[in-house]
Amino acid sequence: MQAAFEFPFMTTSLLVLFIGGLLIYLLRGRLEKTSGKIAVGFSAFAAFLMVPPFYRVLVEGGRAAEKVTWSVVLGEFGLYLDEIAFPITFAVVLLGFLSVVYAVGYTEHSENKPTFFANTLFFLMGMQGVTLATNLIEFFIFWELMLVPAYFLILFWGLPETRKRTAIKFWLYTQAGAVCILIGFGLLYFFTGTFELYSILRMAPAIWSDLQLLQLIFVLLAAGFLVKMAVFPIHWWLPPVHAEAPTPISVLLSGAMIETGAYALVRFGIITLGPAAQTLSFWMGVLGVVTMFYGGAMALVQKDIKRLLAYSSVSQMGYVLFALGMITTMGISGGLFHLINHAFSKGLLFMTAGAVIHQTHLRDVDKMGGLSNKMPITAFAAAIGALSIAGSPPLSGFASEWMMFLGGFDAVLMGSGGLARPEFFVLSILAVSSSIVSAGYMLRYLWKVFLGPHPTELEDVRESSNWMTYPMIILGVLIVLFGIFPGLALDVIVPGVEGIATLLP
Amino acid sequence: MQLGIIQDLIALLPMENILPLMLFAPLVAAFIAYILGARGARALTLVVTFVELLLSLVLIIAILPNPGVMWYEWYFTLSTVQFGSWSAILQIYLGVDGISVAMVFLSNLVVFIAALSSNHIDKSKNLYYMFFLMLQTGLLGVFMSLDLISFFIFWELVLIPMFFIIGRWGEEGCEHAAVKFFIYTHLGSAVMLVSFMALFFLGPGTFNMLSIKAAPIAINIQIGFALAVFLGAGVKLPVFPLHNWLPWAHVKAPTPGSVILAGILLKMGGYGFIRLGLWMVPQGFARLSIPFAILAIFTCIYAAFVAMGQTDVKSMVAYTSINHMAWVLLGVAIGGFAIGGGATEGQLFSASLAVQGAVFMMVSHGMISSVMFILAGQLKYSAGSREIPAIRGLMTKAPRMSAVFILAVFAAFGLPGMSGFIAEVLVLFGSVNIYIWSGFIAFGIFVTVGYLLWTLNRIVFSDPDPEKEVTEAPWSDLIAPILMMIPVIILGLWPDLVLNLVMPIVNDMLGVIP
Repeated sequence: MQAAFEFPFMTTSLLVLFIGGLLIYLLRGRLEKTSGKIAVGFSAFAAFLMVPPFYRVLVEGGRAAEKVTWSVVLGEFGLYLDEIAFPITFAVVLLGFLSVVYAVGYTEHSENKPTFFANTLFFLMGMQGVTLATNLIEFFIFWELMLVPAYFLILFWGLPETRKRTAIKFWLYTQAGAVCILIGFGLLYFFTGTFELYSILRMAPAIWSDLQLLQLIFVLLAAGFLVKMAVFPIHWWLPPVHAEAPTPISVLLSGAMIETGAYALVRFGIITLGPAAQTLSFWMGVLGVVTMFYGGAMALVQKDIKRLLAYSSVSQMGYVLFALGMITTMGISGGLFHLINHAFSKGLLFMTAGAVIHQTHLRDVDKMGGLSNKMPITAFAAAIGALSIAGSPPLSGFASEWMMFLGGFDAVLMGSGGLARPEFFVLSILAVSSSIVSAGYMLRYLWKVFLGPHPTELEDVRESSNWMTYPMIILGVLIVLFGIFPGLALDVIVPGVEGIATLLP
Repeated sequence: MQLGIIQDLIALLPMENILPLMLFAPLVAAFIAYILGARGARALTLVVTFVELLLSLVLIIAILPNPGVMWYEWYFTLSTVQFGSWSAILQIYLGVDGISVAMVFLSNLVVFIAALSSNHIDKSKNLYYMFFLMLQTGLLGVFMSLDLISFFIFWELVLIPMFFIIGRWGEEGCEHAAVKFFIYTHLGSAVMLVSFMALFFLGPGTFNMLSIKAAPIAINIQIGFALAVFLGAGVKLPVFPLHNWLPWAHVKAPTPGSVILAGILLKMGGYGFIRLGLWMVPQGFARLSIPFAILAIFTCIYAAFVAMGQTDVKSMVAYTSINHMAWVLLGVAIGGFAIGGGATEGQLFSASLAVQGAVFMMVSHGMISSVMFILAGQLKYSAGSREIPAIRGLMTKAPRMSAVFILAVFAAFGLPGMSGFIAEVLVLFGSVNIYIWSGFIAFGIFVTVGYLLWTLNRIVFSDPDPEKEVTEAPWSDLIAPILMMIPVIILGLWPDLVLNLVMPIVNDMLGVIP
């Protein structure tokens, strides 16, 4: 690299979010009415600042890096956007901006708006930092900082009856995972003597000899990341949290935050601890499949509109874990691509659910129906999102789900050809068949809420404001776009995944 | 060049050496404060403690180029005792290195904040401030002493004013707490004094710590001495079976008393472990590494669970202190492993991290627990009670105070970005690599987060009780905690400020070649 000065776009983007949040919070007395629009401005500016790094990765095929030595003991802190970080960062930045726009409409009647938007901006900063961090400590700092604003958002604007319980549940589950991550990082540090991720990667082959220890580190780290992803035995926090948070935050929680767990699993688990990931591949697959079916089955019977979508997120994270656990190029590429698609589709679905709640003041799907006449834009957007999650072509969900299953079958054929690993064959068949469940609960959502005759009480429901519908339209367009041209993202992701040393082809 | 100015500045100070000036200024001021009477005493105390704080900043800048060696050595011979062929020199011998300076700065900071928060003391003010300033001399003396006799003199000098502050200005039942405090710590100190004597006669025949460190001492004597230090410093720290005085003393003491107890007195224990144990009798300490580590982990988790069961906010904070000080012992125990020999280069490096973490934890906890205690004391004035079930809806009734309280709680359970996190990470990362089972201490973090958030839910975020009066804390009461939160955040973002001071001496102690 040449020494020419480059403007630190990513750092500035984080700073803009931070300063924006701080200003809104400090001036909250004067910004009661306008805070939402100011927050939109800040997040738009921050998203705009991420364009040059994205351009570098997408078009020029390069990588964007910024770093500074912060502390002699802790090593270099940096921000680094490569092909692996691209999908999740892209999803976080875009979905983040759109959810702030959406929040302006959603919070028309809320109190303490400035504090709400300040916390939202901090939350965006935390997520963006997690996906770009290059240092173990830096990663962990952002990982926890992502938690604090989300905690306050749930605590102050969640469902009034249960918000305290839900907020503390959210924190404690995540903290239990974070503690495991911390120990794992400590052990990783011992074998490499550095906190800097790229130095760890350089030394990785040297530490790969002690497989048992590597597996221990992997399990510790995975425990933390899987809590965030809400994988089956440790998923309890997700449904209440996502269902009871204010909707713009549910959009971010379900669309972006849980996916940072999947990203971290790739970054720290599969890339850094390759051999351990390979030996544990089957078990990751099993967890993934169990989660798919469990989440799907629970989503089928939910009455609360947002809880239904929350369980669907659990199930979708099962897909991602299954795909990543296969440790094949196709599987991991599909999994990373699915992060974008799930972010957009689930974000969109939560926005539609929020719009319905906002306009009808109902949460029970049994009391709804026929809203497609009353809220046509919302209904159409919901259809796009639901079909994308259910995996029907030509929407983007189809492309990534197809790749994920293909990754599973790739793992079956590994090695000698033929059915080399029949246990993976069974897993992959089960995974494919669970997409029936996904289609089932998504169609149920559409049917119960938007189709059929509408109850008489819902006669006066109207379409929600432009602040809420425009983000939905944009997301809908993006889902179709990525469905027809999956190459837009895959041309970046696949070469990046192929670069991972320990991967099966 | 800049440093030259600092050195010239120090040379300009009276008494030609900064250490005795810092040490004795509060002692002199103590008597003046008593004569000045109620009003003047507070002003004088604020001025003296503030000047001391500035002086300790000057001291930090002065020694920063090379914190690994002893600076500004100064001695004053009290008497020379002859018996037979032996001659013992009893002297006050001062000198500072990186670790001592970090502690000196911390004590001056905490004492200044405690002086600020003494605004609710309203009986016998001049007597109170006299004891207060005497306490400062004692604290500084402990951290500056390089001689066992002077160390012990100052160690005990702390005890007496503290005993009176708890017993006279404390809450109902404070006499009992004061006596309990005195008995526990004094018994520990007595054992330590015996061991000082034993070391003198069985070992190198000197009280000078530098000479003892350099002298070859039989391993059994070292172990015995380390155990005695464990009793003396372990009571102060405190460690599990010796901790019983602490909740009593902290809860019954007046707010500034609790602040100094938690902020500095406990650090005397940690400092004792490092200076008398790890630094002075490393080989003996190394043999005790595993039992100390186990005890530390047990104390941490045990105290966290006991804290969860408390209904008095102050006593919850007191148990949180025990919980956090256990990290210091763990870090020190890990350091012992490295000295024991047979450690690989990576393990040495980890151990160095753990000991740096232990010192960082002392600094960080000193600041955070001060804030917590001031706020817990404030609850009594604002909500009329410190009982958790009796306080409700703080967020709606007293938003300013709640904001500070929330920040302090986050800092206490080690949120990244605050100093507590750096300390816990350094100790944890250092220790899991040496004893993999020490990762269990992370369970302590988890429990701590749990009960602190639960407390927030119960007193801050709950719905207000219309029958209970809750008033906002005035700015005059909040200024001290807010001032104290500033270094907490600065150190959380920039840990090198302390680590640069501490790293050379720790590396030297453990034999790490940087």
